[in-house]
Amino acid sequence: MPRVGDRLPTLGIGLGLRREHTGSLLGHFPDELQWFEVAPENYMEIGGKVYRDFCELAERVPVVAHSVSLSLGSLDPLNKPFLKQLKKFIRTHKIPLASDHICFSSYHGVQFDDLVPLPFTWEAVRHVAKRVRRVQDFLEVPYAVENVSYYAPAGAPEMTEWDFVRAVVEESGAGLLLDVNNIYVNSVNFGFDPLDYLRAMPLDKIAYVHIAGHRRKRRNFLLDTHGAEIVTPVWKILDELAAMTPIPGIMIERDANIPPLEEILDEVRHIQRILKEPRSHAA
Amino acid sequence: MLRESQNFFYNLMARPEVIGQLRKNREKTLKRFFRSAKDREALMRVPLERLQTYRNHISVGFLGAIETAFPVLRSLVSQAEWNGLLNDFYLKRLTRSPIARQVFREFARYLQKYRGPLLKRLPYLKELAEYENLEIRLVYDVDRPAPESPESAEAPESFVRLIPALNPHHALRVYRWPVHRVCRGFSSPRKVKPGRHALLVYRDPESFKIRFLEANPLVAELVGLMTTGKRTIGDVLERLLKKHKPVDPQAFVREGVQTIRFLKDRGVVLGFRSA
Repeated sequence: MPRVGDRLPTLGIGLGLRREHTGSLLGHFPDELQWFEVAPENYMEIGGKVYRDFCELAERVPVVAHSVSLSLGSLDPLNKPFLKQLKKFIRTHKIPLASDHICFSSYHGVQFDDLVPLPFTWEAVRHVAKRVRRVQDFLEVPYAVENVSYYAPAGAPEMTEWDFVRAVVEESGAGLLLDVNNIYVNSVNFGFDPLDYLRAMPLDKIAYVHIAGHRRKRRNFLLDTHGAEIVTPVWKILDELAAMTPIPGIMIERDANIPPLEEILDEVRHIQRILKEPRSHAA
Repeated sequence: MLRESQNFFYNLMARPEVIGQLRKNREKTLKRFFRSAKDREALMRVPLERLQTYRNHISVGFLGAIETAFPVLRSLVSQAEWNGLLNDFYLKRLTRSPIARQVFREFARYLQKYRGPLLKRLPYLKELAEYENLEIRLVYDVDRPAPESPESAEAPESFVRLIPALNPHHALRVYRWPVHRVCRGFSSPRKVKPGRHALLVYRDPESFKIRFLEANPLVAELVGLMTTGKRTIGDVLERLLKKHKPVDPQAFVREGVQTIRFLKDRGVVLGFRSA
């Protein structure tokens, strides 16, 4: 399987599309942004104003499909009607890359709308990797899988979380959608050094990066809400990552407490500064 | 172990009693889900609050989005009553689609079978749920192109030879309750009597907003006859004339033509094509 990065153009900096920002983005798509990401579940098989606005934006700038419900790690069969709709959506809008999460979100046919962790076992690696291969073969588009945040282990681990993520990426041949906020959230919740995580990542497989804010419930308990500004420790992880490898694409996820676009653009400019710093790997 | 793990999380999220059982006797509860002592041990140390997070997320995910799709229904019930509805819906395993709009439809279907105590206070609950779901469906209906109207659409003599094209994003419904007027503080059923409320609900072709017209039986019949997309205006009016046998047929036809032009102005009829 060719490296996902070999088949992808550099994305640059993107933003998760929120309806609150659609009007502003249609009026003037900011120069700081090069692409946007959508949850295809919200735009597939629909019409009306929401879809018209999406189509107008998708004609102007590249869009990446980041689904949340393929349930790649589930023991349920893959949702074929959903996959067919997704493929049609990808083709219609000439989407260059699709992604989902290393988790499960359905069981017994019931959809959870939550990203539930898999046990860090070889059984789970083989199971999810096999399904990821089937998905990317079917979609015929470069595909990436994301490390998730979680709050409770799914059983006794046979390996660390980072070894698990790495194994899934390597065994599936997919790209890695690396969420640096999820690394931080998990590092606080489970007490590890985020740098250990970063160092174990297959950096050459990074398709793009997610960055977001979270909510602190307790000193050692963070909730991955995508509803707050990005905090210093998360910026630090991004900085470390940028020092290790060129970042082909990065996007800000903001799904709750949506601020005006200008506030998010401040964070975009922060990313620009990090990416522009001279690095040894750039030489 | 993968199956045990998925079964555990499924139960944790779907069954409210599981979190209480974990609080009371975690070891015993975990034994029901995991055969391996190592797996149980991994979950013994986890603060309950974190496990509770998965249960709580049910109401902020797509089940949370139901609140935005059924705003009037939500405004009429307490938080506890709303949570009860969502939980019962979830327990009955009706959330089988990952697409939010389909979940709304599933929720509306669930409410059509609802037999609980809310019906006493909100006898219009089922019709209201159907109406709110209809609005959401029309908002997201897949677009279909509107026909180009010929020049002759303006000339009265040739008007009757044209075939009207109805807005495809419309629905005609007859409710027992005035669901379009229901809002927070809606009069109790003792004051508002059930009756016959025919509504023509449609998506405005310009603004994409959902609008409704209170349709009298004749307008409802007129729209119904136009639904085939094959009858000329003359055919439609002829059928109505035959059925109703009005005293003044010319006035009846004039009124029919006026109504069709009115429906065109309102965006219910999108255009006309030659027969």
